[in-house]
Amino acid sequence: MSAALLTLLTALAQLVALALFGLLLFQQLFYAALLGTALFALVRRPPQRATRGLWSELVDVAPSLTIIVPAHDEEATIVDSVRALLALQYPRFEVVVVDDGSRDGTLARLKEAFALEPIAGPLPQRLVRAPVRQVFESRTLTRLTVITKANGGKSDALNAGLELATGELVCSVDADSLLESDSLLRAVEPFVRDETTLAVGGTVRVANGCRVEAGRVVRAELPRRWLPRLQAMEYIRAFVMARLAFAHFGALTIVSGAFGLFRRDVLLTLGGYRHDTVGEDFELVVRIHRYARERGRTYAVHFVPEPVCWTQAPERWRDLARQRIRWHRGALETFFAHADMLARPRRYGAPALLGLGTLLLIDVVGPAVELLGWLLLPLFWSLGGAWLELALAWVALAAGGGIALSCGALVLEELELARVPRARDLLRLALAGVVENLGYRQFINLCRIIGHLQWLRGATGWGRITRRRFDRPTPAETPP
Amino acid sequence: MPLVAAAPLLRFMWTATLLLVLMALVVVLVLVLRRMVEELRAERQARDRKAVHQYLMRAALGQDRGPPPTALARLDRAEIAELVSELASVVRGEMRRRLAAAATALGVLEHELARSRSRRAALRARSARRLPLFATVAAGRVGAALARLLEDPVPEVRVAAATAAVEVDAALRTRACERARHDPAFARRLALRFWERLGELEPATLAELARDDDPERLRLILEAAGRGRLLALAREAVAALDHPYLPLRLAAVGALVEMDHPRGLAALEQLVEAADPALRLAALTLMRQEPRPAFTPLAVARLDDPDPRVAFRARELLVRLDPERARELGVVPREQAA
Repeated sequence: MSAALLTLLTALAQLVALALFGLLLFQQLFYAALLGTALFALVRRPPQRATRGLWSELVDVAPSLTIIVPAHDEEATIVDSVRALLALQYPRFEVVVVDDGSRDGTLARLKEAFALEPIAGPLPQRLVRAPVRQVFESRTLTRLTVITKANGGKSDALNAGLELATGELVCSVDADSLLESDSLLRAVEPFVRDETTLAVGGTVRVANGCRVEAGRVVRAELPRRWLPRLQAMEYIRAFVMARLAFAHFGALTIVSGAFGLFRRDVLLTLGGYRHDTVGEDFELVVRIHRYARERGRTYAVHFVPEPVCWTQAPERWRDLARQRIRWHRGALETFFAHADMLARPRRYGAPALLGLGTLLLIDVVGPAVELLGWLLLPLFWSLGGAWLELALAWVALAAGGGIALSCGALVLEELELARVPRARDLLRLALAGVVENLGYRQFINLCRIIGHLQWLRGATGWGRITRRRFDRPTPAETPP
Repeated sequence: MPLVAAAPLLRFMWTATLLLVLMALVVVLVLVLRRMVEELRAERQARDRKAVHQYLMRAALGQDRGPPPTALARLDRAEIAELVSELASVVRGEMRRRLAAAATALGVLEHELARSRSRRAALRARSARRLPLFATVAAGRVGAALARLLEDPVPEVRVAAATAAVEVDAALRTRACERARHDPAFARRLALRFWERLGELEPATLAELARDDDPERLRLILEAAGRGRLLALAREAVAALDHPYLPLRLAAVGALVEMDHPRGLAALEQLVEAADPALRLAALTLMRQEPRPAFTPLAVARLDDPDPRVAFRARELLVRLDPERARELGVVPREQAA
């Protein structure tokens, strides 16, 4: 090989390495910009009100609301969850539980606990694919309806609930999620203040380790196990930093399926949730943006950091991998279903450019770039000289930048929301923010790449994640 | 070579990033320390709040309050204002007047007046909601502040000021009504409480405002009239039954039903028999919101509706209204009922 060719190849290799580094740098700078925006948005919002004050302000004007709870094999928690939902502080709401073909005793538990009475005759199912078997009304509670249907997936269950919902707003809640008692009041505020609001998302936090009684978090605690604790830190960064910043720019494209509020009429106009994706929550919000922009309608999708929904994070690496692979597949399905929005930024504006653009650069390209960088690191290191500088810069930016961002999100959380239970928990979370960048983040990127490959293969299905009852601590969480 | 050229920049970047990480960790540590101090102070703060709460309560009851507790000096005005607001929502009449006097002496009125000029709209709106408490001790200043807030550029603040103004005196009420007559903010759901309070205090004025052309405003007024069972507005509700705007027609039916007006049930019967299934569905949804025995025949009439959504709602309503009749009519499957 001639010297000239070798020089050319080396220069080319260096350019490729620098391009990879440039992408990482862009990603970290983008996150830093999100952090700054979130700080700006948090500082500008009015101070939080006590629940009583909020109730007296909203009790007359809060729109009616239907909570839809899709449930699949949830016999362990369903009764407590429904009781807790029925006890939420909100003036006018109903709960529709959709038993999506459970094979365990979910329906039996509900029948027993709430004296359910079946309703005969044909049932409306315009939006539903899997047959609805029966609808039940509670003899004791006028605000509870239970639907039982053949298994058709989460979207189908949500659509079944949507079909029978009567509230002006619908709120989707996972059966294994726990809402704080004033979360509906806080989440509904944007709908009252701004009538153009079509959807609102709230904060989701990790419930592992919390003390739960009768379907309610009575004492917030950090998870004792490291894996859920790392996710707790990750959730803080995602919700306090990213979603708040995206909402500030009118580009919020994700309202978590665990807790989101929507205008029912808009959902019905859009034909409900789509059946052909595992990222139905993400896809729905992108479709809402699309629908409103195509009609030139003034609208808003808000994020409110105060209403908190607690969810169980996977406690095993295998479960976490399944969850993240599915999330990534859902994101890709949504992205490619609406990729044309990126080509018309004038029409689709911030949701396309920021929402879908970020997804492309950070979620589609990002994981591969970052993982490739880590894989090539030993090679860079061994080459020495300028390559060593590149290796050091890579480690500093990828891991150090991640730590700085996690700390930044924690600072935001503490100064503006202060929901971390105690000082020592703040320290533990900061430590999790450090540890997270040294293995966990790379693992998540690997899951995303697997998700990508699965999506290319056309994989479908949700995969099963082991969950346990909230109020039954695992041995590691049992206090000594 | 491009990498050699970039090497100084790369060196700068990794050293700067490491410094940034160090700084971030230090900031977190400072916050941890701050939180530790707060945790130590939390107990005392709770005691302070309790002492001030008791002091204010004694003041409201007209009991000898003794010298102001030292806790007052340790709590900031915003916290005291919050406590006053909490108490104000549960006291009435003379107790309310005494609470206002005590709060004014503690500087809460000044605090609220300052907030009414805040740059944050939410704080101005909150101040507007709290100011009526002080109308008995500083009517002029409260009136002036509310009059200014009635002209605020933010709709939420104007509505909050008008709702508060209704409580204060007749002159301010008239001013608020003038604002409400023309301001589009008062056609939004946010203003429902304003219309409700106005209806409670001056039903005749509300009836006069209900002769408005704006169907959205009229819809809200009728909803407020229904909630307050204000028969003074029955004529306006009956007139709205023929309005081409469907939500207004439904609001009129709802209001008449809530007022127990005979035309309410008749209008519901008409809706339930309408050719358009959307109207029949709307009627059944309306009945479902507050089921009454009088609705039973209407539900029975729609059990076999050709539209499955309407038929379902009718069956559902019947199960709620009269489970026995539902069983007799086979709305509850026989084997399940047995």
